[in-house]
Formats: sequence, C-alpha cells, structure tokens
Amino acid sequence: MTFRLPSSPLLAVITLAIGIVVLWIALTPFSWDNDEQGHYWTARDIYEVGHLPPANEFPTVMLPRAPKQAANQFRYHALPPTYYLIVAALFNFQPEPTAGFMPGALIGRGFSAFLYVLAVVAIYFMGRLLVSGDEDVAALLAVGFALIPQVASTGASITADALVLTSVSLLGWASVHAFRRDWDWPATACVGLASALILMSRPSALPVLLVPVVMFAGCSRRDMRKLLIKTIAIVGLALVPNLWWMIRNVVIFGEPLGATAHVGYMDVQGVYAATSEFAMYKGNAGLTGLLDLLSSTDWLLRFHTRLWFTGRYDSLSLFGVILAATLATNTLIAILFAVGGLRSPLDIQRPGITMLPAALLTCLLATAGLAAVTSLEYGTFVVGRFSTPVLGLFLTATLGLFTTTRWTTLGRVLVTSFGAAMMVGHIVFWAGYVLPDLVGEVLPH
Amino acid sequence: MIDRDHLLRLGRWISMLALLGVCISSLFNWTKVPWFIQLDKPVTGSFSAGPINQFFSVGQTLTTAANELSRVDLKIAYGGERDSVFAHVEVKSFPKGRSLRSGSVELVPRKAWYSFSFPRITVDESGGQVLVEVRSVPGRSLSDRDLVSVFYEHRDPYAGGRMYVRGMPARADWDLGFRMYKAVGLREALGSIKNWHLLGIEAPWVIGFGLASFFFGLCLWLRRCMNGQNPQVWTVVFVVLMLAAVALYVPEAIANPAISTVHVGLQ
Repeated sequence: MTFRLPSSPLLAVITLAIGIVVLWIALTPFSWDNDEQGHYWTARDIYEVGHLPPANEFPTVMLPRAPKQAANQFRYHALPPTYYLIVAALFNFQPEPTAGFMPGALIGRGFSAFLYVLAVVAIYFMGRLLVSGDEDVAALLAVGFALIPQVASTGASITADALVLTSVSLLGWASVHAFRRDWDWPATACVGLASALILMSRPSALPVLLVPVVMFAGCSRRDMRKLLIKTIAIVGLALVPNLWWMIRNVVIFGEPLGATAHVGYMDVQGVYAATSEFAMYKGNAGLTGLLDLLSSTDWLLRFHTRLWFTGRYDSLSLFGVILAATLATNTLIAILFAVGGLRSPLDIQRPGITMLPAALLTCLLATAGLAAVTSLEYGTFVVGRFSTPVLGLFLTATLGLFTTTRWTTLGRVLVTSFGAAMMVGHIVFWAGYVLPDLVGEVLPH
Repeated sequence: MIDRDHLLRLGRWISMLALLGVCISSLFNWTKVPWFIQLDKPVTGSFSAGPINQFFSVGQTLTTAANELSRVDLKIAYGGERDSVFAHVEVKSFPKGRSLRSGSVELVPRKAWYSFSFPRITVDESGGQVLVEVRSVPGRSLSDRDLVSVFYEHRDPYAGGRMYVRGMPARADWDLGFRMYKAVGLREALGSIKNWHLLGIEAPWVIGFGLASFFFGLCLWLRRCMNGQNPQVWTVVFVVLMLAAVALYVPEAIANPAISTVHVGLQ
C-alpha cells in the first residue's frame, strides 16, 4: 500500500495559513499588538451585561473609570458592533479563566484566526479568477498575502481589523467574480453581501467600496435600467443588515458610523495627548499641513513599517527598502494598466478589469491619507494596520493581473518574488524583531 | 556531448549549492550569537541631564546580585555640530569603585539608545552592585557646545539603585534611563518565551502543531512544483536563498534585536 499526498494547491494554502496563525497565537502574548486590550474589553463589556451599552451610558462607557475593570483602557463601543457581538457570544464557550488567564482570550483569537484563513482563501479564489485558473500562481499570491506579517498579526489578535481583513478580501473576490460573470444576479448579490461585511467591520475599510464601483462602471455600456436595478440591489444588500446599528449610532452620536464620535471623545479625554507620537505630529506647532507632515517628519517611515509589520517598531532598516521596492513596482504596474500601457486579454473580453489595480491603489492612498490626517488633526498613534488589508489585496490583484499580459514570464517571476520576499520577510521579522522582543521581557530571577 | 542546456543546468546547481552553503553557514553563526535576556524593568528616561563635560558626569548604580551582567543600554543625546565626538563609559564595582569594563563611544547625532555590551561581569567581580558612569573622554574633552546629555527619570522607577551626578548621589527618586541584560544561548532564550498560559496548557504541542501544519503545507506545494506542474520553483528557491543570504549576512541592518540602537563593545 502506498501513501499518496494530496496535491491540491488550495489545501497547501489552507494548511500553511493555519500553521502561520497558530504559531502567532501561541507565541505572541495577549495585547502584544493591534490594540488587543481595547477590542477585548469592548466584547467583554457586552458579554457581561448581555447587550450593547444603552444610550445613557455614553460617552463614559467608551473610557470607563474605576471600579470598572481595566480602567482607562478605552473601548470601541461607538464603532460598528457586529464583530464585538460575535466575540461576546463566543465568550460563552470559554467563560472561565484558562489556567488563571483572562476568560475568552483564546476563543476570541480563534475567531480572528478563522477570519484570517477565510481571507487567505478568498485571495486564492480571486487570484485564480484573475490568472484564468492557474492554481499555482493563485496559491503563491495567497501564500504571499498570508505571510505579510501585519496580516498574520491581525489574524492572531482579538481585533475588529480581522473582520476588515476578511471583508476586504471577500469584496476583492466578489468584484472579480461579478466581473467574470458579467454581473449576473448571484454574482451581484455576492458583491452586495461583501459590501455589507465592509460596513460591518470598521469605518477604515470603507474606501475599498470604490473597487466594485469602478468595476461596475466598467460595464456601463449595457441596459441602463438593469444597471440601475442592480445598483439599488447592491446598495440595499449592503445597507439592510447594517441599518439597525447605523440608526442606533445616529440616535446616540448624530452620525451613522461612529468614527468621528470615537476619535473626538478620545481626543477630548486626552488619550492621544498621552502618547509620545502626539508631541511629534499634533504637538509640533511648526507643521503647516499634510505635505509638511510627510516631508519634514518620519511619519511616512513609521507608517511604512506598521503597514507591513506591526505597530511595535519604528524602522525596518534595509528590509524596509525591499518592501518599498515591492510597493513601488506594483504602483508602477497599476499606473501602466490605468493609462493603457499594459493590456490584458481579460480586458479585451470585458472592459474594466485593468482599472482594478488603480482603484485599489486609490483605496490604499485614501486609507493612508486618513491615517495621516488623524495624526495631524488629533495626534493619534501612526496606524498602518488600517491600510494593510487593502495593501494585500492591491499587491495580489496587481501581480495576478500582470501575469495575464504579454509580460507573462516577468509576471510569474514577480509573483514568485513576492511570495519569496514575504516568506523571508516573515522569517527575518521573527528572528530579528519578534523573538528578541519576546525574549527581552522581564524574567523572574 | 555537453550542450548549452547542460551548462545552464550546471551553473544553476553550482549557484544554488553556493547560496545554500552561505545560508547554512550564516544560520549556524546566527545560532551562536549571544542573545540577551533583559534583567529587571527597563527605565525609559524622559528628562535630560547634562551637558556632559570634563566637570560633569552622570552615573547609575545597578544591582546585579545572582545575575551575570553582559550589557547595559543608556539613552544619550548629542546635539552638537562636531564630526567626531566621544563619550567615555565605565562600569565600576560599587562601592569599591574598581574599574571592571570601560570604553569610548562615538556619538551619533540624534541617536537615543546606545547598547554597551561587554564580557560578562560575575557577582564575584562586582560584589552584587555596579556603577555605570558616562563622562568626558580624557584627552578628547566634551564641551558644553557639544550638547551631550544622558536621559533620566523621576519618581524612582528603579528601586535597586540610584542616579549619580558628578560622582555624588543625586535625588533619591531619580534614575537614569537604562536597560540591563545578561547573555544567554539561543536555546535558553527561546525557552524563556512563556505564553502557554494563554492556551491553558503547559506543553509546547501547539507550537509543534503550528510548525507541522506550516511545513506540511509547504511540502504539499513544493511537491507540486517538483512534479513539473510549476516550473517557477527554481525562481522561488533562488529568490528565497538570495534574500535569506542578504538578511542573515547583514544582521546589524536587518536582523537586529534593537534596530535603532548603536552597539558598542566595552573591555
């Protein structure tokens, strides 16, 4: 009898992703990154009382004082509540502290891990659609995505950013799927539902809604009546599952998403002013505007580091240059697609797909711009993780599409280089940053 | 008959083996590099003491009982305009004042943390406490215009010692910003990562499962590549080895535990 290993690339991708996220969960301490404390306590508050905080508890419930647990640890109660409701429900499966540790922390991380694997699978299927069924290229793209350290870190933390990761990836897949299916009804419904997930996740994911808009606009030569009905269907599907909490937010904060209420309240309470980066950006009275922030401070360097890796480090040194080169190459390809310098057979069959990289690049710049503006206006910590899901989608979609042009060989080399660079980047990150950081913790002696 | 294809294949194999050798040797070296485990809580240092000159020095006593000290990090700022400015750092036994390790550091504008590593100081040598002192280098004096200062903290963040200014004790609740370490091997360093409590287990089988899952997935994919379904495998292997070689051979630039720190050896 001979034992035969299965050879499915999808199985390899899923197995790899599970391995990566299990290692991250097992090795990184609770609250190591991604503001895990804040997200955890938001879900714990809901779990303890069994419902969302009532209107009369706002705004103090967002930054509770003693004797509430973990006083001065701010919560995300103003933001979309879906992720926190699910995590709070999951806490019922781990209600007691495990080995003296916080109850629910492991099950919460497990949920994020599930979302991470789902995101990787979505990238695989999107890649397969883009490269016309080449499973190996799709697998490499998915593995490269899974190995971006910030993506893996998000998947191993209790954070609503894990839901952003999944919703952004699913919307990428759904948009390409709808494009390939010429926006038939099931595919259109998928885009609507994926858009609903985007709204459910975090306001930082909203710019990615530009992707289906651009793709849909690409097919505007057909029957306008049908297009209008489908537009209404997409918007309806996106809004209906979210209306209840949007109305609740309007009643409590006067705005549907709650982002301004959250940032404004934290600002008033001095949460941002207590961080060292407040003094660098908001507190730097000499800064005249966004361009000045980017050109005369190290904001961009920190953002770049945190975009790929985590919020714990300020510089990537030489490896950062390799990552910046990866980003620059993809940006160039996206621009070439947008101006017609590169053509794909897919675009000839159905116009519009070549605008996908440019649309994603615009989303990436929008999320980065939002981070810069909040640093300048409120002095918030430089946050890269809001842009990471879009970065991953941008890189995988651009490289996948590039392999379908006449530069197929170069495209395949770039795809393999991307996978390899992320593999090495992951190893270097663990060897050079994470392990010394974890080992550097105080030991009993 | 040797044709072009044979030569290409030979060249590819030779370059692959050479790179593999480079990677294996650098990996081997990397595992022998001392790792540092931090002792006691670090002190950040928000206020500056200085400027350091031939009449003004600062120091901090550190308790090392039961530990072998191998590295101390200090937060030093240099705001002057001279090209080459040096500060002198000395580790002495305390209170005897016997010099144990010392050396000079060339200061870098705006750099904050300097990591001073040295052959380990045993408790027998130090007597359980050391004084780490920063002062002007004899013969290469610092002036006030060099704007060299060392950072310290209020509210007594370190109970095991106190700050010294001009060789005299400073206020009892002041401490220099510092981090101190002992050197260990890779195995001990990895063993010190204790996160098992999160998983409610005391055995590392979860790590084993994660690693097994990762390598199983990798094997599935490589096997597919090797079977000829994907000719990109050579590109992947080549790029991985190239980047690994770069990463492992530029440890100061990339795989550095304290990437923004200037490393200085004391003897």
